[in-house]
Amino acid sequence: MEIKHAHIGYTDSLFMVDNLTVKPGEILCILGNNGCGKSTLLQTMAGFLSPLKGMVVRDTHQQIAFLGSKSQSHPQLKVGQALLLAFNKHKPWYKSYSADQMAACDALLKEYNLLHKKGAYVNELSDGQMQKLWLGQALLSNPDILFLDEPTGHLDATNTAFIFMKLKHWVETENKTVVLTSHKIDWILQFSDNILLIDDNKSEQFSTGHPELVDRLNDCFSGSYHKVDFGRNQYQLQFKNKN
Amino acid sequence: MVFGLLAFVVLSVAANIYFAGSSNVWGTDNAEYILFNLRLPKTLTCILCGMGLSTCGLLLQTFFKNPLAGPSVLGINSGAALGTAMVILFSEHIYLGYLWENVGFNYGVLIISSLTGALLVMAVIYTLSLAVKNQAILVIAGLMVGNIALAIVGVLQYYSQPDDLKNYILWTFGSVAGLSMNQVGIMAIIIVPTFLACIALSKQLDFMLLDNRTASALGFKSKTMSRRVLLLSSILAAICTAFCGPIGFVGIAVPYLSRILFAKELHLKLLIVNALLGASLILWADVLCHGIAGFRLPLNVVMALFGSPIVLLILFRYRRTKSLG
Repeated sequence: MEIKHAHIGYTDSLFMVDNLTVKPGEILCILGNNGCGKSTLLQTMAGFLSPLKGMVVRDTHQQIAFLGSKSQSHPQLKVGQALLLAFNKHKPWYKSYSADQMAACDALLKEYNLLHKKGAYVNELSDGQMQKLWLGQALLSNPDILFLDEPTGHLDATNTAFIFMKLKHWVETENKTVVLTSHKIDWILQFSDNILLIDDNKSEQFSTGHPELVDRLNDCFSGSYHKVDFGRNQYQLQFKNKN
Repeated sequence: MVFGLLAFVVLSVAANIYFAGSSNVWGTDNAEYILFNLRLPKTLTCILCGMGLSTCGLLLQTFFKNPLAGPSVLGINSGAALGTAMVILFSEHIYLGYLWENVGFNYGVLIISSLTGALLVMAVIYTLSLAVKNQAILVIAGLMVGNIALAIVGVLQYYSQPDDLKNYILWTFGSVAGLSMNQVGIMAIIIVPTFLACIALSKQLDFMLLDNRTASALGFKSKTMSRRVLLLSSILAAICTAFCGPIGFVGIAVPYLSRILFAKELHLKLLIVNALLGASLILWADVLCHGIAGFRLPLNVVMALFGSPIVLLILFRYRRTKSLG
């Protein structure tokens, strides 16, 4: 997927992305302060908005999945149903779900620690559980590119680690692409391959190991009242392998 | 549960044919005539109308992601009522052509006018839906548009003749009686294919339960489906309203209840279950219209009087599930 000279915004251009390529097997994270246009860029990349100028080139055969930061579903939708809908694509009306697909849903619920909520309404879940559910659904639909708007916004440290490790594993083993926005910079520095930083109506692209990245991040997220320091190599976390 | 429902529907049909009307006709010479010319068309009307209105409600509740949505809430019924009022109240003042003069009270004109009214309201709501993304605002907008339609009906009523006014008021009480087999045929020709179209769209309807963007990424055609759902629901509401009057309650209560009682089902089965429930509800309401100690009551009154407590009862029964909607 490529973006060329694209001006991003709803009516007025917020910033320009000059030349951005996202390759399979890569996690790209869009960083920036609140309201800088991260979600707008994500929606433009997913094809829900068109760029004001320039273009976004994406292979139309590629399947995508999109997860917004606020997911509005029907109040009478149940957790089990929500997952099954991931298999609805290209399914003729008379066809029901196979035993394999139902088993996959159950396995996912078990892995995500949501099995006891299978019969509950989606709206009854806590924000964090809901976020895990929709992420699981997106992964079940097996897209080529996964767009996530703040996928870990409501998650605790354990679940954040779980989700990022899940995504990383999925991207690497199946050669998929993830584009996400997030504010959990410590995690991002560890798990993403590339970073698009939006600051002062400009966008800059860094690979995660880039020597100037940390300074630029400190610049970007320091306000007039506080200073931020994302020290280099500070977040070398070790995860226990549960298997 | 599904077999129970089927048995219940059969029971409802039998009860409707046997009880809905004066009970001392059976065994007399007239029995056959009454069965085939009065009772059977009425029973079929109940079934078709119940199917149509409950399906319409289900579509709208899915589309608006709101269990409060329904043909009577969104002003579709009011739009259809406006179309019908135009015809009933002003029939003498407008020249309706050859058909009107030769066929008398012509249902064709009534249907077209009612459908136009319903579609007009839906067109306004659809146009708004392109600009406003908030479904709650759309429901309120529907209410307002319906209010405008009813206000125009009020103006028409104010300036109409007493006899026409009486006809119109009677129509607003709702009735499943008085249709000939031909008219029931017309209803069936429109309602049954529309219902089948909904069944064929069931997988796309399922997508409407999800967040719009998530669903779009999964292959949901948002714009086409919005148009289709609004068109199909307008057709269903308009045809039922034209023939039977503005029947409320079914369109909201039945889909809501089917979603509680058959919570595990997605649209393919839900549509069928919902239609069966809707049909049996009107069948029983019609029995009650005739049945109680010789009193005859209008359909809408029965529905509100007996239907609402039943819904309340079910809500209490299921109160443990916290967020029903």
